[in-house]
Amino acid sequence: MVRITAVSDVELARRAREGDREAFGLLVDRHAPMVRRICRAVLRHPEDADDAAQDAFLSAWNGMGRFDPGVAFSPWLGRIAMNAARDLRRRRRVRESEVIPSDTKSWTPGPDTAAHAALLRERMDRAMSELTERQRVALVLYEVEGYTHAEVAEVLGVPEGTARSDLFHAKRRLRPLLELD
Amino acid sequence: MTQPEPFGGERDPRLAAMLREQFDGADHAAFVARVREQLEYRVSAWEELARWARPGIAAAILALVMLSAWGALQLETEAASTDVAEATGLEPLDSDALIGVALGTAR
Repeated sequence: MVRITAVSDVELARRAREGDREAFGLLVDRHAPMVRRICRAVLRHPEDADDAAQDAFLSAWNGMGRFDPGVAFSPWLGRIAMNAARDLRRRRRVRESEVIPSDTKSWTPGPDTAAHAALLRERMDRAMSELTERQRVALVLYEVEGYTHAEVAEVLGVPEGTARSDLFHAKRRLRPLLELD
Repeated sequence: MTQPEPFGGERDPRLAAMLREQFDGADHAAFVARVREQLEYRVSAWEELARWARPGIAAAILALVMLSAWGALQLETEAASTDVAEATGLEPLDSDALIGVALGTAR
Protein backbone atom coordinates (compact mmCIF):
# COMPACT_ATOMS: atom_id res chain seq x y z
CA MET A 1 0.00 0.00 0.00
CA VAL A 2 1.30 3.45 -0.90
CA ARG A 3 1.06 5.92 1.94
CA ILE A 4 -0.38 9.25 0.81
CA THR A 5 2.34 11.14 2.72
CA ALA A 6 4.91 9.52 0.42
CA VAL A 7 3.41 11.23 -2.64
CA SER A 8 5.74 13.94 -3.90
CA ASP A 9 4.82 17.61 -4.11
CA VAL A 10 5.10 17.42 -7.89
CA GLU A 11 2.58 14.58 -8.08
CA LEU A 12 0.17 16.32 -5.69
CA ALA A 13 0.55 19.58 -7.63
CA ARG A 14 -0.12 17.75 -10.89
CA ARG A 15 -3.33 16.30 -9.40
CA ALA A 16 -4.31 19.68 -7.97
CA ARG A 17 -3.84 21.24 -11.41
CA GLU A 18 -6.49 18.81 -12.65
CA GLY A 19 -8.88 20.03 -9.96
CA ASP A 20 -8.19 17.42 -7.27
CA ARG A 21 -9.08 19.27 -4.06
CA GLU A 22 -7.93 16.42 -1.85
CA ALA A 23 -4.45 16.56 -3.38
CA PHE A 24 -4.35 20.30 -2.83
CA GLY A 25 -5.51 19.76 0.75
CA LEU A 26 -2.49 17.54 1.32
CA LEU A 27 -0.24 20.27 -0.04
CA VAL A 28 -1.88 22.69 2.39
CA ASP A 29 -1.24 20.30 5.26
CA ARG A 30 2.38 19.84 4.20
CA HIS A 31 3.28 23.46 3.55
CA ALA A 32 1.10 25.36 6.03
CA PRO A 33 3.92 25.70 8.61
CA MET A 34 6.22 27.33 6.05
CA VAL A 35 3.53 29.60 4.62
CA ARG A 36 2.45 30.73 8.08
CA ARG A 37 6.04 31.43 9.13
CA ILE A 38 6.66 33.53 6.01
CA CYS A 39 3.46 35.51 6.60
CA ARG A 40 4.39 36.06 10.26
CA ALA A 41 7.87 37.15 9.32
CA VAL A 42 6.36 39.76 6.99
CA LEU A 43 3.41 40.90 9.10
CA ARG A 44 4.50 40.19 12.70
CA HIS A 45 0.88 39.78 13.71
CA PRO A 46 -0.52 36.25 14.23
CA GLU A 47 -4.13 36.75 13.14
CA ASP A 48 -3.28 38.85 10.11
CA ALA A 49 -0.54 36.38 9.22
CA ASP A 50 -3.01 33.48 9.24
CA ASP A 51 -5.44 35.48 7.11
CA ALA A 52 -2.62 36.14 4.64
CA ALA A 53 -1.58 32.48 4.73
CA GLN A 54 -5.13 31.46 3.91
CA ASP A 55 -5.23 34.00 1.05
CA ALA A 56 -1.95 32.54 -0.19
CA PHE A 57 -3.35 29.02 -0.39
CA LEU A 58 -6.52 30.20 -2.14
CA SER A 59 -4.39 32.18 -4.63
CA ALA A 60 -2.23 29.12 -5.16
CA TRP A 61 -5.33 27.02 -5.87
CA ASN A 62 -6.56 29.59 -8.39
CA GLY A 63 -3.10 29.79 -9.94
CA MET A 64 -2.39 26.04 -10.12
CA GLY A 65 -2.85 26.22 -13.89
CA ARG A 66 0.18 28.51 -14.08
CA PHE A 67 2.37 26.28 -11.92
CA ASP A 68 5.17 24.66 -13.89
CA PRO A 69 5.54 21.05 -12.66
CA GLY A 70 9.16 21.22 -13.78
CA VAL A 71 10.06 23.53 -10.88
CA ALA A 72 9.90 22.97 -7.13
CA PHE A 73 6.48 23.62 -5.62
CA SER A 74 7.66 25.00 -2.29
CA PRO A 75 9.51 28.17 -3.50
CA TRP A 76 6.62 28.89 -5.89
CA LEU A 77 4.21 28.74 -2.95
CA GLY A 78 6.61 30.74 -0.79
CA ARG A 79 6.56 33.53 -3.33
CA ILE A 80 2.76 33.54 -3.32
CA ALA A 81 2.78 33.65 0.51
CA MET A 82 5.16 36.60 0.49
CA ASN A 83 2.93 38.50 -1.95
CA ALA A 84 -0.23 37.61 -0.03
CA ALA A 85 1.28 38.96 3.20
CA ARG A 86 2.39 42.17 1.50
CA ASP A 87 -1.05 42.60 -0.09
CA LEU A 88 -2.75 42.14 3.25
CA ARG A 89 -0.47 44.68 4.87
CA ARG A 90 -1.35 47.16 2.17
CA ARG A 91 -5.04 46.49 2.71
CA ARG A 92 -5.09 46.58 6.48
CA ARG A 93 -2.14 48.75 7.45
CA VAL A 94 -0.95 46.13 9.88
CA ARG A 95 0.46 47.29 13.18
CA GLU A 96 4.10 46.51 12.32
CA SER A 97 5.48 47.60 15.61
CA GLU A 98 3.22 45.22 17.51
CA VAL A 99 5.06 42.30 19.01
CA ILE A 100 3.83 38.79 18.30
CA PRO A 101 2.52 37.14 21.44
CA SER A 102 4.30 33.87 22.00
CA ASP A 103 1.35 31.53 21.64
CA THR A 104 3.41 28.50 20.64
CA LYS A 105 6.47 27.19 22.35
CA SER A 106 8.72 24.97 20.34
CA TRP A 107 10.85 24.50 23.43
CA THR A 108 9.82 25.10 27.01
CA PRO A 109 12.46 26.16 29.50
CA GLY A 110 12.51 24.67 32.98
CA PRO A 111 11.74 26.88 35.98
CA ASP A 112 15.43 27.68 36.52
CA THR A 113 15.83 28.90 32.96
CA ALA A 114 12.47 30.66 32.65
CA ALA A 115 13.89 34.07 33.37
CA HIS A 116 16.70 33.51 30.92
CA ALA A 117 14.24 32.34 28.25
CA ALA A 118 12.04 35.37 28.83
CA LEU A 119 15.04 37.64 28.43
CA LEU A 120 16.04 35.82 25.26
CA ARG A 121 12.53 36.12 23.85
CA GLU A 122 12.36 39.80 24.63
CA ARG A 123 15.70 40.37 22.91
CA MET A 124 14.60 38.25 19.96
CA ASP A 125 11.43 40.36 19.59
CA ARG A 126 13.50 43.51 19.64
CA ALA A 127 16.07 42.13 17.23
CA MET A 128 13.35 41.02 14.82
CA SER A 129 11.78 44.45 14.80
CA GLU A 130 15.17 45.89 13.86
CA LEU A 131 15.46 43.62 10.81
CA THR A 132 13.85 44.48 7.53
CA GLU A 133 10.94 42.40 6.29
CA ARG A 134 13.17 40.82 3.63
CA GLN A 135 15.85 39.92 6.16
CA ARG A 136 13.30 38.23 8.43
CA VAL A 137 11.84 36.18 5.57
CA ALA A 138 15.33 35.29 4.30
CA LEU A 139 16.27 34.03 7.78
CA VAL A 140 13.14 31.91 8.08
CA LEU A 141 13.57 30.41 4.62
CA TYR A 142 17.26 29.68 5.05
CA GLU A 143 17.50 28.63 8.69
CA VAL A 144 14.11 27.04 9.32
CA GLU A 145 12.96 25.81 5.91
CA GLY A 146 16.45 24.80 4.77
CA TYR A 147 16.24 26.60 1.44
CA THR A 148 19.34 27.20 -0.64
CA HIS A 149 20.47 30.78 -1.30
CA ALA A 150 19.08 30.50 -4.84
CA GLU A 151 15.67 29.40 -3.54
CA VAL A 152 15.61 32.20 -0.95
CA ALA A 153 16.40 34.65 -3.75
CA GLU A 154 13.61 33.21 -5.88
CA VAL A 155 11.01 33.63 -3.15
CA LEU A 156 12.18 37.15 -2.33
CA GLY A 157 12.36 38.09 -6.00
CA VAL A 158 15.91 39.41 -5.67
CA PRO A 159 19.29 38.36 -7.08
CA GLU A 160 21.07 35.58 -5.18
CA GLY A 161 23.79 37.96 -4.03
CA THR A 162 21.19 40.22 -2.44
CA ALA A 163 19.65 37.26 -0.61
CA ARG A 164 23.10 36.25 0.70
CA SER A 165 23.73 39.81 1.81
CA ASP A 166 20.34 40.00 3.58
CA LEU A 167 21.18 36.80 5.46
CA PHE A 168 24.63 38.02 6.39
CA HIS A 169 23.39 41.32 7.80
CA ALA A 170 20.47 39.68 9.59
CA LYS A 171 22.75 37.14 11.26
CA ARG A 172 25.29 39.78 12.19
CA ARG A 173 22.55 41.72 13.92
CA LEU A 174 21.35 38.63 15.75
CA ARG A 175 24.83 37.46 16.77
CA PRO A 176 24.87 39.18 20.18
CA LEU A 177 21.58 37.51 20.93
CA LEU A 178 22.96 34.09 20.03
CA GLU A 179 25.96 34.66 22.27
CA LEU A 180 23.74 35.13 25.32
CA ASP A 181 24.23 31.58 26.59
CA MET B 1 39.71 22.37 2.55
CA THR B 2 36.53 24.32 1.95
CA GLN B 3 36.60 28.03 2.58
CA PRO B 4 33.86 29.47 4.81
CA GLU B 5 31.21 31.29 2.75
CA PRO B 6 31.62 35.07 2.80
CA PHE B 7 28.02 35.61 3.89
CA GLY B 8 27.73 33.02 6.64
CA GLY B 9 26.56 30.00 4.70
CA GLU B 10 26.50 27.74 7.78
CA ARG B 11 23.11 26.97 9.24
CA ASP B 12 22.63 27.48 12.95
CA PRO B 13 20.23 25.06 14.71
CA ARG B 14 19.90 27.37 17.72
CA LEU B 15 18.89 30.27 15.51
CA ALA B 16 16.42 27.99 13.71
CA ALA B 17 14.85 27.06 17.08
CA MET B 18 14.54 30.71 18.05
CA LEU B 19 12.96 31.58 14.72
CA ARG B 20 10.50 28.73 15.09
CA GLU B 21 9.50 30.01 18.50
CA GLN B 22 9.06 33.47 17.07
CA PHE B 23 7.14 32.59 13.92
CA ASP B 24 5.48 29.17 14.27
CA GLY B 25 1.70 29.31 14.04
CA ALA B 26 -0.47 27.73 16.71
CA ASP B 27 -2.87 24.84 16.05
CA HIS B 28 -1.79 23.50 12.69
CA ALA B 29 -4.83 21.21 12.33
CA ALA B 30 -7.32 24.03 12.89
CA PHE B 31 -5.57 26.21 10.33
CA VAL B 32 -5.52 23.46 7.69
CA ALA B 33 -9.22 22.74 8.34
CA ARG B 34 -10.00 26.44 7.93
CA VAL B 35 -8.21 26.64 4.57
CA ARG B 36 -9.87 23.44 3.33
CA GLU B 37 -13.29 24.76 4.34
CA GLN B 38 -12.70 28.06 2.51
CA LEU B 39 -11.50 26.16 -0.53
CA GLU B 40 -14.62 23.97 -0.55
CA TYR B 41 -16.85 27.01 -0.14
CA ARG B 42 -15.18 28.97 -2.96
CA VAL B 43 -15.00 26.04 -5.35
CA SER B 44 -18.66 25.16 -4.69
CA ALA B 45 -19.70 28.76 -5.26
CA TRP B 46 -17.70 28.84 -8.50
CA GLU B 47 -19.19 25.55 -9.69
CA GLU B 48 -22.69 26.83 -8.92
CA LEU B 49 -21.95 29.99 -10.91
CA ALA B 50 -20.59 27.91 -13.79
CA ARG B 51 -23.74 25.75 -13.71
CA TRP B 52 -25.88 28.86 -14.14
CA ALA B 53 -23.54 30.60 -16.54
CA ARG B 54 -24.21 28.37 -19.58
CA PRO B 55 -28.02 28.79 -19.75
CA GLY B 56 -27.58 32.42 -18.71
CA ILE B 57 -25.25 33.15 -21.59
CA ALA B 58 -27.56 31.31 -24.02
CA ALA B 59 -30.51 33.38 -22.84
CA ALA B 60 -28.50 36.59 -23.18
CA ILE B 61 -27.46 35.69 -26.73
CA LEU B 62 -31.08 34.88 -27.66
CA ALA B 63 -32.24 38.21 -26.22
CA LEU B 64 -29.51 40.02 -28.14
CA VAL B 65 -30.50 38.32 -31.42
CA MET B 66 -34.17 39.19 -30.88
CA LEU B 67 -33.30 42.78 -30.01
CA SER B 68 -31.12 43.10 -33.12
CA ALA B 69 -33.89 41.66 -35.34
CA TRP B 70 -36.42 44.08 -33.88
CA GLY B 71 -34.00 46.99 -34.38
CA ALA B 72 -33.38 45.99 -38.00
CA LEU B 73 -37.15 45.78 -38.62
CA GLN B 74 -37.63 49.26 -37.17
CA LEU B 75 -34.91 50.69 -39.42
CA GLU B 76 -36.47 49.05 -42.49
CA THR B 77 -39.89 50.51 -41.67
CA GLU B 78 -38.42 53.99 -41.22
CA ALA B 79 -36.54 53.73 -44.52
CA ALA B 80 -39.72 52.62 -46.34
CA SER B 81 -41.76 55.58 -45.07
CA THR B 82 -38.97 57.98 -46.05
CA ASP B 83 -38.97 56.51 -49.60
CA VAL B 84 -42.76 57.13 -49.94
CA ALA B 85 -42.32 60.70 -48.73
CA GLU B 86 -39.55 61.29 -51.23
CA ALA B 87 -41.51 59.75 -54.13
CA THR B 88 -44.73 61.70 -53.48
CA GLY B 89 -43.08 64.91 -52.32
CA LEU B 90 -45.40 64.87 -49.31
CA GLU B 91 -44.42 64.88 -45.68
CA PRO B 92 -45.45 61.66 -43.92
CA LEU B 93 -48.47 62.26 -41.75
CA ASP B 94 -48.21 62.31 -38.04
CA SER B 95 -49.54 59.01 -36.64
CA ASP B 96 -51.75 60.79 -34.05
CA ALA B 97 -53.31 62.93 -36.78
CA LEU B 98 -53.97 59.83 -38.87
CA ILE B 99 -55.73 58.06 -36.01
CA GLY B 100 -57.81 61.21 -35.35
CA VAL B 101 -58.85 61.40 -38.98
CA ALA B 102 -59.71 57.73 -39.04
CA LEU B 103 -61.88 58.02 -35.92
CA GLY B 104 -63.59 61.15 -37.27
CA THR B 105 -64.45 59.39 -40.54
CA ALA B 106 -65.84 56.43 -38.67
CA ARG B 107 -68.30 58.66 -36.84
